[in-house]
Amino acid sequence: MNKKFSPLALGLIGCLCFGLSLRLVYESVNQIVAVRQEGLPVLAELPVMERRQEVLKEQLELSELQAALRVGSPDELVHAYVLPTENPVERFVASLNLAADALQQAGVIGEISSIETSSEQPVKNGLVQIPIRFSVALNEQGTTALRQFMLLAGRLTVADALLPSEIEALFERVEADNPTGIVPLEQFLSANLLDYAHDAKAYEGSLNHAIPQPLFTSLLMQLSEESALRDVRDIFGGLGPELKQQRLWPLPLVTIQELVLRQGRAPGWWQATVTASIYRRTES
Amino acid sequence: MQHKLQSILACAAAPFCLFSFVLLGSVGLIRLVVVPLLTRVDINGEQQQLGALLERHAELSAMLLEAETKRSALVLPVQDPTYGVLKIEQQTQQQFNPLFQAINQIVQAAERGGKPVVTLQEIHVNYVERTLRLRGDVRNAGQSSVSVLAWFIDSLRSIPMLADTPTPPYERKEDPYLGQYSPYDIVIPLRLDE
Repeated sequence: MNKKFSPLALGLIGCLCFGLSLRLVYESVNQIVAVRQEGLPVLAELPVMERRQEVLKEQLELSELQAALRVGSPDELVHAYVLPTENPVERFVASLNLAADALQQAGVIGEISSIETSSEQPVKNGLVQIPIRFSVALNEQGTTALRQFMLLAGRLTVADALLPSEIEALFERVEADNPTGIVPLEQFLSANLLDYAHDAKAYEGSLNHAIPQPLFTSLLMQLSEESALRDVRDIFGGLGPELKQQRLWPLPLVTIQELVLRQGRAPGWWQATVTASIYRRTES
Repeated sequence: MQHKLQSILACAAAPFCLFSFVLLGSVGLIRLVVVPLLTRVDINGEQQQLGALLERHAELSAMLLEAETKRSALVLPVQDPTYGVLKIEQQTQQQFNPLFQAINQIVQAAERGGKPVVTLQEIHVNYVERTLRLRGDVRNAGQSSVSVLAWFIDSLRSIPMLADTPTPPYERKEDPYLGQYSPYDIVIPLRLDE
């Protein structure tokens, strides 16, 4: 071989082969390490994800069936009452006065001032806001009740009273404990908020009966006590029948702009000035 | 010496070339035959490589996300997007509700012998700018009114939403009716969980 190839050429070929060998060893080791580090955790997740996929598929079939049976759409109620095209101030004033009467009887707020409205201001997406302003004397309980009333105005269903994270927690629990429970859960979440406030035990009991697993029961109890559902029961539990009777439900949606509390004349009482916005659609 | 080294290198060139060539062949063979065996994973009874595994994982993640979105659309009754945005605004505003009670608890904790020490003359919540203005004074505390005010400010900062409470000018004033007192007027930017 020495006679056919020069030692220099042989040395260069040797170096090239040696270098390529090192590179292949390096790549092979990396590939094996990558499988150990990335592949194995992913591999462990796959069966769980595949199971979830099956569960979700089953839940979707059930939900589609349930949706087909549903009569009327809550979105229509939103368009008609919550964010209507007609000016909703009168309906809101009427409902606020109704709430104020009940709170006055409970001795937590005083006489509500006349409600001033300002001119409409465009917001976006065919929506305008109508600023309103009023004053009222109230104590600590009255402050809480007034805020609860205003910040729950416009919510239609149980789902609307819950935070997205709370709804997600319910979905996760049902998925894990009882996938077919999606139907009773859907019925619970779609329940009219006023009907729920009137008889919360019946709604929660019925859901518990359909999904009796202890972890779900404990989650439902926790949400019932710690979420806005408690505020819903507190504020609409007593007011509900009157709001329905006077055809004031669903309420127009309100957001608070400013709340100013100044020390009142009696100890523990405040003079509150509330600036808020009610909304109206400019196109149906 | 140089001539000797050259002759050693010339003699070693052929064995080194042969060794490297055999090494490359062996490593190549290992890479083609053994490495795939070591890096294969079993997906639903099929032996596949890491790339296919990651692809399957990404595909399943996307399918689950799509199914969750579809389920929410079917199960959650109100889907109007404008309503959704305003509802989230209301829910953000609801986060302020526990604030009033927490401030009142601090004020009550400062009472001495049934007399108010930290007084709140005005609580102004600006829900749009997300600020809280507190105006009042520390009274009935004699010469320690400034230290009570410092305690009040520290206590406010212990409420997560009021962690950015600014330091007011600490001053002691005299009033014929109130005696020694320390006024405060602070605007606190509110921290919210988004």
